[in-house]
Amino acid sequence: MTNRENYHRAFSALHTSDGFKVDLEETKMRQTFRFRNAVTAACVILALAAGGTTAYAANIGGIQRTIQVWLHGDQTDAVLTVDNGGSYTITDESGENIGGGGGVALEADGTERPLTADEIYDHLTNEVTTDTIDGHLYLLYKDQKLDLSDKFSDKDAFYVTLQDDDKELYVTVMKDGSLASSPDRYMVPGVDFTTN
Amino acid sequence: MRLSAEYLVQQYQENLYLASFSICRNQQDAEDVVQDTFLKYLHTSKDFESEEHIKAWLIRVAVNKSKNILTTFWYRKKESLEDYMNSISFEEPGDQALAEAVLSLPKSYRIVIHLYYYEDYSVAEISQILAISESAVKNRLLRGRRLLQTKLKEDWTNDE
Repeated sequence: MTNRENYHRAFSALHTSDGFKVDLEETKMRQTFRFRNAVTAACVILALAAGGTTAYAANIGGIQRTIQVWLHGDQTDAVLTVDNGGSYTITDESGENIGGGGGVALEADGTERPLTADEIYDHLTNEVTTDTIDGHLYLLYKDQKLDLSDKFSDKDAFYVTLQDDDKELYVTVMKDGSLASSPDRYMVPGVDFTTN
Repeated sequence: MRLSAEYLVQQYQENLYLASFSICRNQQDAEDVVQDTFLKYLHTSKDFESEEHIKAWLIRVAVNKSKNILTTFWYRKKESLEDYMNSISFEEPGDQALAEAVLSLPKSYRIVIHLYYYEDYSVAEISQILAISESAVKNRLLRGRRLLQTKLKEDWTNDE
């Protein structure tokens, strides 16, 4: 066997995951946002504090806003700093970095651009997340905290609909805290998204 | 010429995944890259000369997107490479060692090695896809092969 034959056979064993499917219809229809969170501490970025302020931070060329974050099960004030490259950091009141991340938007012509501060802000303030606090798994949305610990007695997935004014969000939460959501319908594990 | 995205997904999804995986070394990141690469194809108005031209363009986009992932500090909960590799059913006993040896190479060597040994591209073609000189491709191939020989010993023959 040549190196090439061995190489080909070895790498042919690596595939996309079973549930993975390129979504051509979805991508044709709308602008897509990809987001990743960098969580460096046990925090979940969640809701905009009432009366949150905006200030331009000339020293870093970005924008700072006050937001509220979930930290160890409690909401607390934090500072969201967004730079011009679409990246953000979250710092607590002592200035310690407690999270961050970044994202890009894909324009209709396929080009990428950094997310704006408003887009990042909207994303973070409307994000649904989970966190384990004192052994309890919670679903966190804005200032709401729902204990899911007893929801998984005989199943791996829990389905919950979040209502926010006239908006509805269908959320599927897995036992391990991973989740998938859609404004249209419940996402089905193993069908719409993969699970480990 | 243009080919339907549906056809290209069917033909090249796994090729793009492997090219991306050889850089990212993470399944989810590589799948994101595959999705984004086909999105870019849907939105490009570029006219291609042939199917091979489209394939090379797709791989180039996937490689660039994979590099972008590595240069950001964005983070996601990742399955470790070791866990992922242990979950794969390799055909032959030495296959996992080979794949792990390749994935342990510096990333600039990995993609060159992958395009050469998996996609059967020539040095000139790799040079075009990666937008680097032919001498840089040869150099990375040479160093990558030597590292593989060191790691895999008799399981990697000297084919320089």
